[in-house]
Amino acid sequence: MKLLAYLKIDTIRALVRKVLLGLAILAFVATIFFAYTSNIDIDEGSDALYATLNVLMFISIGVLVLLAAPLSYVFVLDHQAAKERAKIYRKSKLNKQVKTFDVINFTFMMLFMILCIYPIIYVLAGSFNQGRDYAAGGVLFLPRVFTFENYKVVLTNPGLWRGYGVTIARTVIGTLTALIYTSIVAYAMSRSNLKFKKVFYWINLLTMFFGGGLIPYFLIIRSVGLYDTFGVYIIPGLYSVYNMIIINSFFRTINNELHEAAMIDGANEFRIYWQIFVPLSKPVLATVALWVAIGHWNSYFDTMIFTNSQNLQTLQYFLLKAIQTATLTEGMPAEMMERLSPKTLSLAAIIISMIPVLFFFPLIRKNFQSGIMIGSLKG
Amino acid sequence: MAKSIQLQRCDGTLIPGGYKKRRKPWNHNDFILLGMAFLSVVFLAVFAYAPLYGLVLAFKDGDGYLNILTAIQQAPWSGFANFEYFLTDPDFKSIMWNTIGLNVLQLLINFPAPIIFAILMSELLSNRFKKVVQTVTFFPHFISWVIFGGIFLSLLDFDTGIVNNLLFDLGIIKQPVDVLGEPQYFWGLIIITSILKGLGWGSIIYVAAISGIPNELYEAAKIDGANRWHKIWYITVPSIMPTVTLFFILSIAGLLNNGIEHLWVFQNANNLVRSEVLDTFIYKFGIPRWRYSYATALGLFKSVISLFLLVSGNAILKKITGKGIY
Repeated sequence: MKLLAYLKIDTIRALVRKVLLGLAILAFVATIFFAYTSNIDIDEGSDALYATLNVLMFISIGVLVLLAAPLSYVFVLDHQAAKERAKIYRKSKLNKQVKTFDVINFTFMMLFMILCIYPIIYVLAGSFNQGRDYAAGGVLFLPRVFTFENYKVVLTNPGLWRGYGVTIARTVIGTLTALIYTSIVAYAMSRSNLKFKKVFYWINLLTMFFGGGLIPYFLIIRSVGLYDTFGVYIIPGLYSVYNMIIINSFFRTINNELHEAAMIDGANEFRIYWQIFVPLSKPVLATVALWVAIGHWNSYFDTMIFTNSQNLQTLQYFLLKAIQTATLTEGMPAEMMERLSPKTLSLAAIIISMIPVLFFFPLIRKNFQSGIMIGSLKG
Repeated sequence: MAKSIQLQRCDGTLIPGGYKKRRKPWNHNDFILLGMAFLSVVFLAVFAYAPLYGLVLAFKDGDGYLNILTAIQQAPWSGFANFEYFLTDPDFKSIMWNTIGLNVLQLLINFPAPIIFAILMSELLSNRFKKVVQTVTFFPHFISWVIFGGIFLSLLDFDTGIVNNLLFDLGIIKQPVDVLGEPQYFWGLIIITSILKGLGWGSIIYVAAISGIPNELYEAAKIDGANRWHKIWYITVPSIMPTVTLFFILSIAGLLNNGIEHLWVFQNANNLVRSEVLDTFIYKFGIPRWRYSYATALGLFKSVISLFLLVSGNAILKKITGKGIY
């Protein structure tokens, strides 16, 4: 019982520390943000705005000071515990010596992570900066002349919303249908009692080694009437031999006795697939769904090749045009053009279109484990 | 419980030991399974096998037809004229040079990079840090080439990008460099961007392979006095070798596919000398300019070479390691 009580205290302390730390980080960031914004040029900023920013800054400083005392107490406790642990650790066999190689390795990893993260900070800074000022260069970490105008202009562009709609529709519909279609075939191919299994196997496998190429494919898309329809995003992506093999190899690991038991109970093959195999292989289906969904979300070449009308433009294609040609400033009044530049506008568009990926990334991260498992299956 | 029939002679006497298995009659489940598997045949017939018929365009003179459907039906035969036309094209040399050069560079640099990265990652001391590194380096894989390219275009911008600003402030360059406007930087740009985007994700398979190595091997080696390099070289590398060979052959097969979505973002009229590859050339001639036959011929040319590379790569690997993919 005593041990349990200790554990309870420990978890409570950990929780308190987490909450305190979170609040402190929030207050710190807020302080920096308000201190920074109240001291720079804000596009069309009034005195009242600066005054509010100042007050907000002092409030966040106050919160930070109030938090300091309990936080330091928690840290002292933690430090003592860490010392104890270090004492035990030094004597144990687990202790590995840190060598120069480890330091170099660590530094390399840190540098590479910075290379991965910094571009996003740069884009964020640029997207909040006034266009004319940005053209002078040197906006590297924080915006110099702060403004929301880039976002206002981009968000009022109908092309962006249309693109968003098309992309979301094709991602959701395309992923669901592809998953069902591919897994149905994978199930049939995983059954040993499938007739003509060899024939099916070779029909599938041969397509992995050759293809007609772009123009014959285009010809087929035109002749089956998919050209310039929404279906061109969905139907050609229904099935992929590669994904079928991945799902198939997972289906084969499912115990055959389950199948036999269901058979005796009178279920037919489709019902066994739908009610036993699909629920049992959620991890692999989730991983394949993730690949398919990412592919749908990111692709833009099919829009370029197979569609013509504006209503079918995806988000990525809209972005491509915004980056390559200055479509975002088209038809804008001259006095607005003076303050804006296509560069900062496209940066804002980049951030807006990246938000869903940022939002779903934690979910994707959860899937890493199963992804790795399937990766090893493939190897 | 396969039923069997005993075989008889014509006169009705039994043949000793002569049994013939009787086929089980098909039941409804067999038909359901067949129907399920047949879905793949339907799809592949339309989207993989039917395009093969379109390859006849390569031997026809279908350029300039407004509708590709009438082009394939009505265009006159022209033999190998389309291929000859391409081989004598003044741009032929530079296009092939770019296609092969970019790919060989990618194979030499971007193929081993994830392997080295995975080994380095496995040597990290803290598991928590390892997870952080994985998460962060995975992220670029999930954003599209358009976004990634857009970010890079602004980073490399002639007067506002950080690269020029930084190099100029450090005194390394005297004048800002127009990275995208000058062809000689294009290959480097492609290599670096594909490393940044793909390194973390590409290493996932090797990380999985490394984590599958039993720990006892390392412990035994440690007792025998092996240091870190010995462990990497004599345990880790040989253990992931099968995975490496498999993916090496797969990347040889895709040697002529220069990720068109990647190149298209960075290609512009100024760097065309170094950025035009077969894929982009085929697209430009085939779709917007209606030169269907010419582009089909180029595509066929490309697939034949890739098939040849796949077969020969596999043969070489079989000779060296004794293992191939087929």
